[in-house]
Amino acid sequence: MYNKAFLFNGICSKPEKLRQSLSPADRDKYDTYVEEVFKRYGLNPSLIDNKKTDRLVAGALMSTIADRVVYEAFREKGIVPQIGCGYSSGLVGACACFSSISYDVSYDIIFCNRNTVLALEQNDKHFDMGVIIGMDGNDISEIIQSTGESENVVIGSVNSRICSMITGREPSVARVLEAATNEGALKAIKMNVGMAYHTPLIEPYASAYQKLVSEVDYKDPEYPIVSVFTNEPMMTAEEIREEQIKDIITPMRWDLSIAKMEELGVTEFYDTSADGAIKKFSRLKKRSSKIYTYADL
Amino acid sequence: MKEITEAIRQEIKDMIFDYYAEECEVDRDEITMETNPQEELGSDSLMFVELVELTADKYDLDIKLQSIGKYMLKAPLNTMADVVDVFCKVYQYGNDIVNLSE
Repeated sequence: MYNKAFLFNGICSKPEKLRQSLSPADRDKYDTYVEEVFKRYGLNPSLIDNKKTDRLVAGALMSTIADRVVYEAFREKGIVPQIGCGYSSGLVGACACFSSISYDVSYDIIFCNRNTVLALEQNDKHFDMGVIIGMDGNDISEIIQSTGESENVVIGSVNSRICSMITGREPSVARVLEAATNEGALKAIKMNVGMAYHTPLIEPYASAYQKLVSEVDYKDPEYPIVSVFTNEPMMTAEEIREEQIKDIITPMRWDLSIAKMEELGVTEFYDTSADGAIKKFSRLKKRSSKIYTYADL
Repeated sequence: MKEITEAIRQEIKDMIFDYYAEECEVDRDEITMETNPQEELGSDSLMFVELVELTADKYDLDIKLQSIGKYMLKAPLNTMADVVDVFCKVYQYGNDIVNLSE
């Protein structure tokens, strides 16, 4: 049985704003990490001053670093995880925080996504993702079918019964979002990231990422990490590696992962996103369960 | 259609103002019926969904978010007065809100 779960975020929509959510002491720590990591990859800590192809990975690195700072803040308060789960690239942060890989390797994995961005650019492929709020996964599936876009768009993640992420070819994503709005979605927004994670459509362009991940020396994680694909706890290095290889090309079920953790006895969830994003898009079933955020510290 | 009294209308307004004050971390007295919830309070759709769920629990309503979403295509929420109005209509009409004109 588990009681405390840590939830790690993937790429957030406004990574440059994460810093503002941190306390002055944690902000200093964040700045130190960012300076060191960005220097290593030749990135600019001011997102807009990076080349367009570098902005996505720069933002993802910021999110991963902010997750680490928040994780460390929870740990300093004596909160010890018993299990965890990572949303999208949050898996990379979870692996580092749970000692399955080093932080340096986690940054290498995130940075390697740059190769995918470049491969899309070289092949003139235009992908994107979107978020739909106020509809469940079944309704969104019907909309994808009825717009005739099922070969071009998939649900990348059912986050909860009221929030899902869609992913696929750029014009098709826009068409599905428009149809969702007309069908009563409270919000249907394109993320404009020029990337489509969690769809097999990205696989032909993700070979460098998959090669790197397959060569990483994973260790068994200190605490189990719940798979967002099978929704079962993973305890071994090999399971983690397989999850990581699947991560960017496979649709995930965040809602079922959360439900599984509740089923396993978790009542205290700790959201490591500095802005409390995970708490916002997740839904718990039990009234006795709660998601704590950095703001609760 | 369910009747709505002035007392219920006031209760709904108080609930909404209290909720936005807490979630958006602003002083309740700073919120007026003219306040724009997105631009001035920084609220978002997920907060709105939570408010719908709170309201449904409080008044034992069975409401589909899509019914509200379709109504909002005709009546966008630009001010807190719009928000209070849509929740009063949810209380009165439930899912039939979708059939109302602006």
